[in-house]
Amino acid sequence: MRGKYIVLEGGEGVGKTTQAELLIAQLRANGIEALYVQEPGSTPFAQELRKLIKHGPPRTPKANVLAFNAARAETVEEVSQILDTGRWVIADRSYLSTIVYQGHGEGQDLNQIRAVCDFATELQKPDLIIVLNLEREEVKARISARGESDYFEDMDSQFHDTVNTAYLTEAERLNLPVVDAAGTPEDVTARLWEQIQNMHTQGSASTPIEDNHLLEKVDGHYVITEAGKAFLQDAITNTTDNVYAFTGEMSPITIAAAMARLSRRGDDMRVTLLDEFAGKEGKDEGLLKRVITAYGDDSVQQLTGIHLVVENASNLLTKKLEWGRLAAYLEQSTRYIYFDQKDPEGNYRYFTPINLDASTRTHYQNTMNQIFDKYSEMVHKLTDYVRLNSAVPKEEQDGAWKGATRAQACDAIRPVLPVATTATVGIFGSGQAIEALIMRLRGDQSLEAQKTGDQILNEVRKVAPTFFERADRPDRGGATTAYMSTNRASMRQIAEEKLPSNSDRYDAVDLIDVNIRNELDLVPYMLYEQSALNLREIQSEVANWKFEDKVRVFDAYVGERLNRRHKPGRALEHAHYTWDLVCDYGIFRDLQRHRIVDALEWQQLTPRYGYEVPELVEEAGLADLFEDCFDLSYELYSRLQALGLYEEAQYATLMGHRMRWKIMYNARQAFHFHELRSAPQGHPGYRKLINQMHERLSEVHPMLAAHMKFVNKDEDPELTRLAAERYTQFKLKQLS
Amino acid sequence: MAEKTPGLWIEIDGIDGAGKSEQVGRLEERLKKLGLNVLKLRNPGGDPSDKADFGEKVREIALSNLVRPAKSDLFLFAAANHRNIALGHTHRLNGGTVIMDRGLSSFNAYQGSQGIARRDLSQTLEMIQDVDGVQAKPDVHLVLTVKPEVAAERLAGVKLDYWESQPEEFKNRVRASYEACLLGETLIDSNGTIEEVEALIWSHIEPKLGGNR
Repeated sequence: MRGKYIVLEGGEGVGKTTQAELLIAQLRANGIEALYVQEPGSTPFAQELRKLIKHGPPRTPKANVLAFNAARAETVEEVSQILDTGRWVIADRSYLSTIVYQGHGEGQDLNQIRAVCDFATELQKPDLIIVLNLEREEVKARISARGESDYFEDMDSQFHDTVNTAYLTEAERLNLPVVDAAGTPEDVTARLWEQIQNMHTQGSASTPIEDNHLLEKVDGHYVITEAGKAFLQDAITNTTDNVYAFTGEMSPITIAAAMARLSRRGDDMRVTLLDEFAGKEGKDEGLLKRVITAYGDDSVQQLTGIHLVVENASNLLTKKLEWGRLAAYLEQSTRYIYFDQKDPEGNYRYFTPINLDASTRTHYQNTMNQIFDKYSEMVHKLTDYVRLNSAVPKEEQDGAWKGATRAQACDAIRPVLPVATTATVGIFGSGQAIEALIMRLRGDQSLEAQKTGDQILNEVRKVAPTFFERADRPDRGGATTAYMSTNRASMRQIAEEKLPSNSDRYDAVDLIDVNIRNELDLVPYMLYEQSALNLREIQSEVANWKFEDKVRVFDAYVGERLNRRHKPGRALEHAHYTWDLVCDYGIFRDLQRHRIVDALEWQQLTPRYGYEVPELVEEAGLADLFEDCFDLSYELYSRLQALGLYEEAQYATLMGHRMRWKIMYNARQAFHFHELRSAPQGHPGYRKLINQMHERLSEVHPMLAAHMKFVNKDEDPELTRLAAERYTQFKLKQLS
Repeated sequence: MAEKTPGLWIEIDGIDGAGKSEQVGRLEERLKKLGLNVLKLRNPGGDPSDKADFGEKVREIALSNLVRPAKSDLFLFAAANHRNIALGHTHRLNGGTVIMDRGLSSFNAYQGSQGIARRDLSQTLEMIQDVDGVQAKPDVHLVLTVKPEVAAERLAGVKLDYWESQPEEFKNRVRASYEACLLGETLIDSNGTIEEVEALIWSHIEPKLGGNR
């Protein structure tokens, strides 16, 4: 069996050489012969290069990169020959050092370096690279104890810090294990051994099943036996054609592992399944772990999905759950559900922070109950009012009409629901998305979020333990969590110190920045795909065109749009709009879920920006009750603030309170965003906001705005929503 | 600050035995006589007047008989070449004159003949020529060609280095590569006498000297 090529990486003084020796000894104790290899290698040629690189005259950084790779091309040849004899190689550094030192350290073009390194090491890539990580002070102590220096070690300590950070960045990017190099050499070896011990029992991460009756080998080819075919028939939808889906017979986690495996195995995946995974579910706990270790957590994590539900999440938490945007989220709607039900203890559906003292807690719950009482009273009264005053003739007052009138009442009264109102959130996401969610929640400032992060981790570990091992490991998830909360704390301090605490601007819509000022500058991007020229060349050609010619391109590119799903191409992604918005929380909730946006962030919720009383509420004579809720909210908010419970005070704000947030999106997304969110079915609140935003956009990019022809400016939401509801009922009827 | 008129960058390339060293020497003399600030660089290598030069150290390894893979040669020559190009580019920008004794054409011919794929070779060339985002290249790029028998005659009795002692087949590939003028070089027939070749070379350089005389 061919040997394994394991590389130890890390800055100066982390103990690579020592650890390499100790690992070789440990491998030997396990019956594996291993050799120490350092770049440049051991041939006379390599030794000459070593002298040149380590002690030679000054040179350009790029010449350095090239010289390293001259040595490297030779080293990998040596390594490959050793592996062929079945021996292992423990290497001190690899191409990663060049990426870190010359790329991150000296600021050389990373892509160029990666290309050169990739080419130089084409013959033999490492099976595993481990990054050793050590605090700067500890490194200094070790280097000075060593009393030696060379070209690179002579550089200053800031450079060392850059190197350290670069190693961690690359480890994250390439999904490499990072091992803590503090402590005694034996401690570190034990940690390293954990990373490589799985590799030494088998040739690949997973092992072929012995005496496999599902497969036979005939003339060096795998042939699927009758038993194998029977297994496949249950597991996948097509055993012979090129395309097939999994039936649900095998666990999604096993499927993910098998898929990860296909990247390194040339066979039809059905053969791999039968050879390595069939019938092993639940019997080989180590199998998934080995595959994941060998192929990296991230890539395998992405191959499986997890369905997750969070019950009784406050509306503050729901937004935090949905922050990542790269999963699918479903949330109880405040538009179609009455929040007038009490639990067996007599409380409405709202969240109570756990860190309130007894009297504050009582006060909090009393206030919440009063607000919900008023909500319930209003929502029923308003539904009756809307139905009584409906212009729709009696004989047409069908199920659709009932739904539409109910939604209208819910919409109008929703503003008095506290942010503490709880809802159920359903999430479907890849293992990776869920892991990111867990780390974010655990690093959040709210206790509710932190606790939920722990609970999610606990539950998902029950279905896919191997995927979530690092989420709370001190050096991985723990470090990420700490990073997030430390940064947030220091930013809050700076902002408090340097910025006034109150804003004078209450503009609902403020277009802060447009990054392609002249929309005709999009023309070269529009031509790009159909041209063979470099962008610069197209730009200089187009620069001489007449205005009409540019307009012609513009119009042709957007083309004849027959409905809002006809979206123009990616050239439009070059134009970006940055907005500062002030709107109520309810509207924000609805708009926050768009995925193709950037930089979406919101500020702490506060009653400071006021609220609006909907016309319908005034008409129905409910304005007093409505405003009572805001008074109650303000009183509770102030009380919690006075107690220093800033995070918790947000729960006391109401969905009708305005809040400040920002968002950036590109012109292509604007087509979707503006057209969808102005559609008749939409909530009148966000429809109004979108119309204002669209007006601003038309001022800066009139041509683009004109092409967004499905932006609905219709002011009569009542009728249009009824039409939409009718259509839904019609679809339902057709289905049944 | 007065804008400096960039100087001229000349690369002279060609197979072994074409008479490059002689011609480069004569050209250097001529240019110096005109009062020009001449920087001579060689490949593999660097500034031969500086023993401690990085490129000259590379040259020692590159011309040695040490066994190594073709890719190592590729990167090693690339390292020295890039540094020369960076030096030459700056010298020229500052109004100086640069003579490169071998350079991009030799890299292309020799490393290509070692079996490095054309695509990989072009990528490496692009990287070598990249100086702060600009693709630097010579202003006058000459390749001296000579009949194989003339070359053999001229090399008779000379001690051959690693490259000069490569098999005939390798040398043929190198020759073909030079003569294909893949980098837009101008071929100079160097079968004639030293003086004839010198005059021919000068006819390509003199008209370009305009602003620098």
